[in-house]
Amino acid sequence: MNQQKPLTGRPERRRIKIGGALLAALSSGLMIIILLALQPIEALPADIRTGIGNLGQLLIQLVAVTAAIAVGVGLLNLVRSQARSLRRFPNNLYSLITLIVLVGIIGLRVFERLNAGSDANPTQTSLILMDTLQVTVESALAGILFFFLVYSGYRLLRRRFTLWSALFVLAAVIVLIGYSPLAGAEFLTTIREWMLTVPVSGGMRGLLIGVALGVVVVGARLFIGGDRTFRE
Amino acid sequence: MLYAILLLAILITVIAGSRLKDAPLRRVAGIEALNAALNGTVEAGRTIHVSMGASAIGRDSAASALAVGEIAYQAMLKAALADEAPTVTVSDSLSLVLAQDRLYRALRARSAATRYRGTLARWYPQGSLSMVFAAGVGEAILTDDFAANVLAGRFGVELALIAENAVRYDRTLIAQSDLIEGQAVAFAVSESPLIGEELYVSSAYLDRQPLFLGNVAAMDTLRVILILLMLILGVLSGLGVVL
Repeated sequence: MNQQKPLTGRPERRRIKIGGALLAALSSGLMIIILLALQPIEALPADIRTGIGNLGQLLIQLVAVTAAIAVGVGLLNLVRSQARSLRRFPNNLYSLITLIVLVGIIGLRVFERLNAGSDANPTQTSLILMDTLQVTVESALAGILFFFLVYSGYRLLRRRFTLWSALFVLAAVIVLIGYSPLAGAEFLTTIREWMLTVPVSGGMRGLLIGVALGVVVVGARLFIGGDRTFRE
Repeated sequence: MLYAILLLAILITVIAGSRLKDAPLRRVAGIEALNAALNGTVEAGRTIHVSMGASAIGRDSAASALAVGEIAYQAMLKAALADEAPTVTVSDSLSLVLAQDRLYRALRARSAATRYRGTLARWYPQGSLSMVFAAGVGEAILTDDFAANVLAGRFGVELALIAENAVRYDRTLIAQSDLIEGQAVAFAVSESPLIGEELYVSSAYLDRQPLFLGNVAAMDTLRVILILLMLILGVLSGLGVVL
């Protein structure tokens, strides 16, 4: 009899917890929808509209605080996962570099804050490092992307030669050549313009409408408490 | 208008969900490849990588984050009794919590919660179209030897950088993005890409729950309504009727 007590107790606690989560999620979702619907109504008294605005701001601040805490959680996760990767050292040299840079930048930032004193515009070495290193490296990676994309186009035709993949590559080639400033290639510019305004634009809208429909049905699932977070 | 569409979607989801218990679903190449990858990696004793890119809870990409979270759940559910667990990578720190939650729930559903580790979901900094994220995930694909990679959610052109590391070494790649430029890259790099909204109904194919089937019905109904509306408006516009 005594052994059964914890077994019967656990599910009850879980039900209460899930019910609370569902209630909190549904009520805040409904609240935001109602606030968004009420805000543009000018016939409402000024006090009520101010109250709605303040409530909206409070919700936004709550989200901002949660996101800030989550960045801390993410940082801890990054340290843990990279430290775990170090077990395979020296195969995972990048993890070591990541951890050294992370600790170095945090240390540098703390040092800057401590030494800022009364100086209104202190030199921020961490920001200079960010500009000179991270932006440069990211720009270099973005530059390499062009070659990856061209190679992907070639590989697409080699591995999966279908009508659609051929059309995909042909369209990319026509659009690229259409930008050519060479004399006598004006007709390509016309073709490029037509392609961008008719089939490409139509395809883009079709894809975006599809994604929007997907967002609506996932939203519907959330609103009826059907998401896994609330069900299990 | 938005409220009416949402209400309609809810109604159809609930009604269709209670009636469509054994409804057949049409074949979708990307989802079939996804299912094969989920099953194949477990049978081969290898591991799968699921990435939701910059999909972020609390932003306009929250729906894609939830949809990829469902794929991560199914991947972990299948791998729970095998040696290797899937890895989920995210760029948004709030989505990290979602990914960890889904992996933990899947293990708990298999009574294997003790196998859970926080580092099964990994965060790489940060934000939309992050090259740092692309470099970090690309490096993880190489060093962790994932047999299959599912890159779905919010990706821009940086998807090419991640995908290159998977494709170069003949690892299975299933890609999708809710951004146009990312979707174009996904089509070019993946043999079986998921296209647009297919991601959002993938849960119905992986786990035939009535609610998920209701979602498919809701999406198809809304799609038909939209097509009819566009056709009617097109005809009216052609006839010179100004609305």
